[in-house]
Amino acid sequence: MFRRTNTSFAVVLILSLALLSACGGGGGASKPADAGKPAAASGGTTGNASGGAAADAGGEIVIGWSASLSGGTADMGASSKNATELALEEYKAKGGKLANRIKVIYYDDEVKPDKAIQNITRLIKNDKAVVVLGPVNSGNANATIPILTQNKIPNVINVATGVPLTWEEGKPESGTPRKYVFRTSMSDLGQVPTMLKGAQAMGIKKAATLHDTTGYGVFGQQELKKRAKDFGIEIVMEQSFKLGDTDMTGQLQKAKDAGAQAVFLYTLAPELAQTFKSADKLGWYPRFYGSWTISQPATYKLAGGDLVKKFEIYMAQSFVPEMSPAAGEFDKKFRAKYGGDGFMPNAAAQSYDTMNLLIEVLEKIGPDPEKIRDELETHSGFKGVTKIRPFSSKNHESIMEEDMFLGKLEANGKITRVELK
Amino acid sequence: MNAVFQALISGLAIGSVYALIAQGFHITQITTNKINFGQGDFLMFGGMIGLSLVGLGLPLWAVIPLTMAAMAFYGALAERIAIQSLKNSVAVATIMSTVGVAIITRNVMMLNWGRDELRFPSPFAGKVVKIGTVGIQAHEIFVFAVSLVATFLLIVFLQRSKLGKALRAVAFNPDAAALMGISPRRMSALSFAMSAALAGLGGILVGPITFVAAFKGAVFGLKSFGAALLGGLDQPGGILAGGLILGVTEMLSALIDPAWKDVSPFMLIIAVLAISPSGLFGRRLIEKV
Repeated sequence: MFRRTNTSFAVVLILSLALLSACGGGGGASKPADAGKPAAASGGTTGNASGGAAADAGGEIVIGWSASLSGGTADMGASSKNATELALEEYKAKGGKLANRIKVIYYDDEVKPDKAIQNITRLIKNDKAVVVLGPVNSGNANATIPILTQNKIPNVINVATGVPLTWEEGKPESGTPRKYVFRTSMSDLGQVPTMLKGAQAMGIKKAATLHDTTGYGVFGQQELKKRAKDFGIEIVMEQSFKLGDTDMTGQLQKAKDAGAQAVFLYTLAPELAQTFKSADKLGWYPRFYGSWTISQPATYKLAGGDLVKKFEIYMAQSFVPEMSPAAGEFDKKFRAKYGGDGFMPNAAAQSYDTMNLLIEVLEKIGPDPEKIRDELETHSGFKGVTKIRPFSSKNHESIMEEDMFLGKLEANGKITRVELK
Repeated sequence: MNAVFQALISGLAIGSVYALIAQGFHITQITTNKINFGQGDFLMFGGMIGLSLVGLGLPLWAVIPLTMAAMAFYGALAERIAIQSLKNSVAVATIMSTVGVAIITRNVMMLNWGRDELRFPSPFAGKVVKIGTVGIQAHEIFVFAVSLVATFLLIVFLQRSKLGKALRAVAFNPDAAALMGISPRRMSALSFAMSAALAGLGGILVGPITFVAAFKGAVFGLKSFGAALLGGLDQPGGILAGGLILGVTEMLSALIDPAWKDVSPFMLIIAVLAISPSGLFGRRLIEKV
């Protein structure tokens, strides 16, 4: 009898531990992420959203948002979420027509493609979202495009930058954009030549590429390989590493041995910081050129000013507060409300514009996903704080190469614009 | 060739961390015949606590013992809740409950410190030492040295000291040990406390190399367990060797293709265990669960 009691006690203990850990979130599981801002984020259990192809019945309009609130790009996700909330709050404050109906549901995809798919499925099937915003990571975007397309729900990508995302079959050469995918963030189609142009102007002839094995890194490296010779640069070594790797000395040594004068980086903040650390260990200080992830606050925080000081680190950029009065005002407003720590200006500004654009579209055309999609292609006259341009049936990108420039990561953490000679 | 030497040195550095964590597996194994699968998360927990203490301005020589003490307490608590209460159940039950402890620890970290990766400043402030063309961080040399010293002290403690022998006696024959006046319950709690303290030390050591983040512990735990199996779960010296071999294998295979980095260590472990089931240097046949 004693033994039986013990066994059942053990079973109860294990079950309760399992329950506890499931409730604890196992990393935010499938619970919507409410970060304490009351405005729009809360669990989606109200199923009255007028989603699908139903006519506007005057009910809730659900906008879905799935991106990384944890992991290496958590800062971008958080900035995007805050900016989206800000836009909605401002709309509600001025008593917009749909102010009481629009609701945004936020999910964390933890930089994991399978989690992203889970979130999107939930947004479409349970929460009845009529349009989906995000994600941050190109690998995740790529993974969720099929379900969104199948269910005819438009996806407005406000942070991810992988080239193939907005093009049919992932091929920009096809000239045909994916019907349901739009982008308000910088495409790597523009970031890559911006980086290459900068390197060319600084006299780089031989370079190495170092990328992570996620969709983001792979797409970026492919684009670099394709375009490098257009700028007189020879790629002498290609190396990669996995997300979570902490030592890139082997890969960098190979690049150094191959005679690279510079290294093109395509990865996220923690790995960028580790790359700089590894290069320092080798005593090798090539020029680094990378994508906008170099301007993630986390990159500077993890690398530290003393390390950044030893290098010349450049990145493709599209947003600095100085670039227009609207941009400066947004920057000030955002910092006042959410603080400057962990603020990723591009991600925030792009998300802010995306939300405002959607509000305009919803006011004009109502919550039918197909109509939203069509309107996005023809909508014009929207004024944003980024360089956002109207979409068309031939182009679902809004920030083009000519809107981008080279930025430099300074030793004090600030991003400055580089004037190329 | 340069790249190979560099990978070798880097591998020894990270391998010594795996070895340090793995010693924790050894202690609980020889005392209670149980494995704490939360060891990796304990590592990160120690790292986080250490980071907070450093943030308060405490010097490293104070942070290390304080963190180890905190982790020892946590380890004893985990033992009391997760192990002690299941002592008459099948072995699988304790494995599951240590996994549960691991998940709880991870989520406690996330709640307290957030989900981002955090920077852990090294007392050596990124200083790099050059051996020819190969660079190694002063911190990595420090980690290697500490790991060696800790292994040595552990062996001495377990072989020579009365308490160490008591710990080993309890696993060998709990009833006989009890008759000799050694409390198996106390030894069990002590072994978990020691193993958690070692993990905590490991966390502070590894923090500046890998950054600390709530979710990073699990992978460390898995690799360290692999190192322990590779070297022989009952031999601290073997575990040290196992950890170093694992680290070097990882780094060298990354040169061929980063995809091999996670695969090759485990392939090595399987190969070794197929030939010698108690690991490279192990002497006792470990009961397989």
